[in-house]
Amino acid sequence: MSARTMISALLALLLALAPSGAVRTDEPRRGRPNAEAPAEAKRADEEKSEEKEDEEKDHFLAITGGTVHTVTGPQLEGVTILCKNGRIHAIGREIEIPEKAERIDASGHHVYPGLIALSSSGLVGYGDPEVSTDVYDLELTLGLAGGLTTVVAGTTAAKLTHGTLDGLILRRNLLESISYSTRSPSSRARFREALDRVREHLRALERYDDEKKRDPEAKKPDEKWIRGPYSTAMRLLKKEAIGRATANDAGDITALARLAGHYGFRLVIQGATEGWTVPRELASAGVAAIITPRSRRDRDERLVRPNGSSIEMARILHEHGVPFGIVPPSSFISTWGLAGRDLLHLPMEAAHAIRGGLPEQAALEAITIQAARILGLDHRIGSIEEGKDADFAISDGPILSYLSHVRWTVVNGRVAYDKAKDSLFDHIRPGGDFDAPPPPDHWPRSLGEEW
Amino acid sequence: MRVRTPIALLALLPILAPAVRADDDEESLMAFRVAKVLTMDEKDTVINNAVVLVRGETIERVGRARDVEVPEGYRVIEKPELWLVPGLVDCHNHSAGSLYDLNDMVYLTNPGLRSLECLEPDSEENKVSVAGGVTTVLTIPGSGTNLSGFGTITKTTGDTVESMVEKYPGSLKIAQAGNPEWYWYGVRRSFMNFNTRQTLEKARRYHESWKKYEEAAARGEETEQPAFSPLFDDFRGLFERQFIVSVHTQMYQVLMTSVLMLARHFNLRVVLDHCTFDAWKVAPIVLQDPSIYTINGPRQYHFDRTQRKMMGNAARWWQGGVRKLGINTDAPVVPQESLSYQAAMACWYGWKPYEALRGVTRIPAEALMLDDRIGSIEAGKEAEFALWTGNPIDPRSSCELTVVRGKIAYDASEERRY
Amino acid sequence: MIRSICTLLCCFVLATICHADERSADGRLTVIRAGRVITVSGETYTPGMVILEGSKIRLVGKNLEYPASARVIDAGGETVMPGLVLPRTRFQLDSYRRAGVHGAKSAADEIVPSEIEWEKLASAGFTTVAFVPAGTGIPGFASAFRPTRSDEERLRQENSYLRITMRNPVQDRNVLKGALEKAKKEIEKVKKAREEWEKKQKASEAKKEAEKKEPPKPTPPQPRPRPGEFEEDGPAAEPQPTPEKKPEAPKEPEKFTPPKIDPNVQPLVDRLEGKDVAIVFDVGGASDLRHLDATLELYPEVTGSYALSLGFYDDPRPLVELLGKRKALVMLTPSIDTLPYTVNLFNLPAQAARAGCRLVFVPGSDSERSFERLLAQVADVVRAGLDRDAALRAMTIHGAELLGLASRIGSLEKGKDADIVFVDGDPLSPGSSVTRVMIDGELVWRKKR
Repeated sequence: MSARTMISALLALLLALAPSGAVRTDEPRRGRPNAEAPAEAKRADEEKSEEKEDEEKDHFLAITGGTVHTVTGPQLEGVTILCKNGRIHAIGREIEIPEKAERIDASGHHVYPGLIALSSSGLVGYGDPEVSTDVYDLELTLGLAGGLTTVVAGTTAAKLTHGTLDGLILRRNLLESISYSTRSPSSRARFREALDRVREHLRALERYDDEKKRDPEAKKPDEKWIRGPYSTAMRLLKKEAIGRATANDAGDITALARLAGHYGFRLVIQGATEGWTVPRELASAGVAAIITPRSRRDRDERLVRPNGSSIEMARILHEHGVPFGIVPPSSFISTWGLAGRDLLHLPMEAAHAIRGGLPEQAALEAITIQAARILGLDHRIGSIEEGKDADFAISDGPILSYLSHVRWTVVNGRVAYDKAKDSLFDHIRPGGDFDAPPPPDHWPRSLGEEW
Repeated sequence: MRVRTPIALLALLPILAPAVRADDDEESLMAFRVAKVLTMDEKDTVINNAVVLVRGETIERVGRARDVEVPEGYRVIEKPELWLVPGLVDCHNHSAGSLYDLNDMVYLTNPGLRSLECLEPDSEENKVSVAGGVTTVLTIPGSGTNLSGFGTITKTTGDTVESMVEKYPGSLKIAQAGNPEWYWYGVRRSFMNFNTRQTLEKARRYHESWKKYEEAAARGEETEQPAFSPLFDDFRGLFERQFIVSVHTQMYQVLMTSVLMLARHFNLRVVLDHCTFDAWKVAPIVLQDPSIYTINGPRQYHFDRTQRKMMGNAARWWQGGVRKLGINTDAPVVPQESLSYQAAMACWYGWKPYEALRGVTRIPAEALMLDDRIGSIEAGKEAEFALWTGNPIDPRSSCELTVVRGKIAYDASEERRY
Repeated sequence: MIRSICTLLCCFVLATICHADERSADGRLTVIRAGRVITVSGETYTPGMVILEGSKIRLVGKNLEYPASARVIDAGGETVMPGLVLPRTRFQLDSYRRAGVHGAKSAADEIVPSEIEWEKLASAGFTTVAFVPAGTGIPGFASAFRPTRSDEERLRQENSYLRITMRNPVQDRNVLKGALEKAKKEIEKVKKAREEWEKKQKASEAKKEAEKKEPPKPTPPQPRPRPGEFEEDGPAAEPQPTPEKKPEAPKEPEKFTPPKIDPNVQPLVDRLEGKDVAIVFDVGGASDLRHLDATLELYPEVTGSYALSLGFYDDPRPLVELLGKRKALVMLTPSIDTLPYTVNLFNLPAQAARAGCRLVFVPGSDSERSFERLLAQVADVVRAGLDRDAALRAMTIHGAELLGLASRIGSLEKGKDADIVFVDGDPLSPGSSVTRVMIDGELVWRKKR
């Protein structure tokens, strides 16, 4: 046995025995710390679901009737959406529906693109959702009942693929978390230093590329030091990831916006409670925000400048052209908590933005296409367009209404949730009937029908 | 329950100075011309294109614009696109006062404590409450003990305690099961019920001895005056059904105890608070006493683990036949300004929008025994209402203007607070 | 290690054969007359007879003739059926658990026969008992034992089935994936070594060709035993003897010695090479099955049976659907549980059988009481809707199938081992109990009156 095979075998064994933390990655774990092979890897990831289907196994889903809110285009009536193998194949009035197609008669319903939760926990698994997701999980099902089809968990964008792992991962390593707060000047300085050094390094790489043409012996700049914050900086500056920072103070928000503007990386600020006081700074740096319109932060009367939270935040950001997505106060779905605060009610958070003056269309965009744009995934999700993923939330009324329930949720062209077939909400206004009889109570207890 | 730290608030207290005080002695005259008035009166009248005349603290007249002529001297508030709705009323609030003084967990029952003494006029909480269209709240002590003191019915505006208070005592606060169990190891429902009953018996005896004495005195007989007790004196109106007992109660077993002990045994006017989990199953028993009000919240849903269903609490109470049904927030558990959103959630989980609106206006006003003054838009009642961009239950609607006691307490066009 | 196992196994096989021979040489037939004979695989005879010849079943039927010299066991009105198979247990083993990949280990390694109360297993009607290694990942092989009286006869099959867990995909997926990748690499390694060897071989042949005409040397006898001498789990990783392929070079004394393969992935290597290695996957809910499928996506050769242990919140319905479609052999507890978050009962065994699964029953726990209750539990599930035949098979022939022993045990058929259980009534009626247990035609346990 050669030494090399022995080492590789040992490595394989080590990998096999590695604890849960060592989740599978697309890239080799060692050797190339920053070597993202993004283009291919991502494509491979993205195309996976399509490759699998061959011609004969084509899966079709046709959604007919219903008011189609394309979000990026006009509102359509009387059209058919034909989905093929998880993508939207065609939208139109005279579309031939293949015989074997699955059908949803959405008459009287509203068809929206699947909603996007820009931060979530518990709907898909922790760490790498691909290995940790329970695809029959209650919370995942509740997410679907809330109209969600895509969630960001950690730094991964994942689909709520109920009952299957196919097409679960939308994209990995989307985000890089940044901590850049006025409360810790030293860490701020360290991060700036990292950005400077990496920027210098990237320039050196460019010089090296030039030099190599003339001198094939040219020495490539050392990259071993690019770890930790340097790796973060590298990924940001190479635009391989979007920076994500939590900041609520106007000061922190402004500092972050300037940082992103200065170094030219993509940034999204989560929270941004006082973002409404500095919308110009956000807009000019091209920084996006993930906001909770309802969040409360009492005004500090000692400050002269406007401060605290404002229900008008969404409107103000919108008017200044700051891209923003909306998330509810809780990023999970609970079966114990208070109603209306978690991801089951994402559209209600958008409704609160409308309360603060945001136009309805913009509120809808904030939980669909704007969220997709923030993630750089708007070529796949966030609106109803041919070629995009067949993810829909089909509700029995306008989705931003407090009386609307999602009737069907479609993920990757398959019905992932059907209100009438799932016990969770089937008793609430079935078919829109306000006077439907209540479900029987098991009091006194009795045995169920299903035996 | 979650208690938000009010340190900042306390620190700010001295700085908070005058805000909305209209120190005019003469009666103000106002006319509101609006798109719609949801009167929430007994006939559920809705008037489109309406005018509401306000004289001083009272509603003078309500009617269609073409029927009601605005007399001279009235300041006309022209809001032809807004809905005029009674001010929202919450039967379960903690945030109108200092949250620090909410739960004095000295004994398992603490008769004599008053939430009146920790009210905070003009606090940030109240300012936002009024911006959410909430005008009257019952501020009650916390549920850390079985009997934590007396609640105060208060307006969400006013810069002094006197100007805020609507009624004291507003209620006696009783808490059963759940939270009081934290009091001490070994304190469980049997003992808690015994202890609460015992305290109430003592109070009743105190009241009866005084009543006897007073009746005798009225007849001119001279009997020995009972000793005054600061512990039990506030209870006297309770046994005369002059104010309510608000009970923190959840789960059907506990709720049955609440009804049996307080409504049947002590013959008190009971307002059931929370009524969450599977408490709706007690509806048939609750219906036996028509004076009981069921004020649901803040949870609004219950995941029924016997049939894997998300049950809407309010909807299930309603389906159980309970009509005296309202919604509360337990502010700051749910922020006070979110009262209308609580109602919206009750609807999402299956209740009906109009009933839900009634459940945050007239029903709680009735529950608090204030329905002769607030809770609906009728001539002669207090001018306490809010102007909304639409149905207040819809979270997309916003409250634009709030009137309390005939004065504009909040105007979003000046500064939008919620 | 493997060598020693093989030797052991060899001895064991020989031993059994010898014993059998002794008894048949005795020439005595044993006749069991019973109120009812449930063959499981075929008819049920009421009344019926089973004729044994030594340790094997010779005839099963209704009114069979037999010589007067035959020994007769009159079971009266009792029912006679094949011995029950306990497909998974850790009865009286310690709580030692392994994590990682241990394809070279088996439960037999852990067992000290004198420390197990075999009688308790026999008294519940079990004539074949598979002990499993505990732990996660690939903890090793289950080993089949028989609760006979004598120690030497107990081990029936050391490597019955390989246990692979997928209960916690976050860990188990990585372990399994790593093991499979390793196995594939090992195969590559052997292949490469062989190619190199062949190349060398050719070169030397060419050389010899050039050297020409040397007196042929006799081929030394091969030290290795022929593959046929061993059962399927003989010296694993044994490559096809290559010299045969090249008859033109018989003189070549040099033999290809394959590089050593990690014994822990050997069973997977065998499986990938198309050999018959039984695998049982431990899965919790349907999601675990999805994760298992995803892990095995690139290894279609790796299939097996399933052992279900649903978590409290796992919905059995999608699992039933998925397993039914693949007509899987499914090990589960005969119990009726509530669907998650409800008080609605779900007869998982009945539904699984209806969906197309073949069931294998395993008692709820490794306690004596649980063993004793098994029949009553199965009776409950049958009363609640499970097909009776499916239930009987789930305790006998399907268990045998899971262990790869279906040709020898699991039903009352001609030629099979005389592993027989006597029940004082219908086995699926509450109140019935096991009265006698026979292994290889010998009574090993009898109920005390």
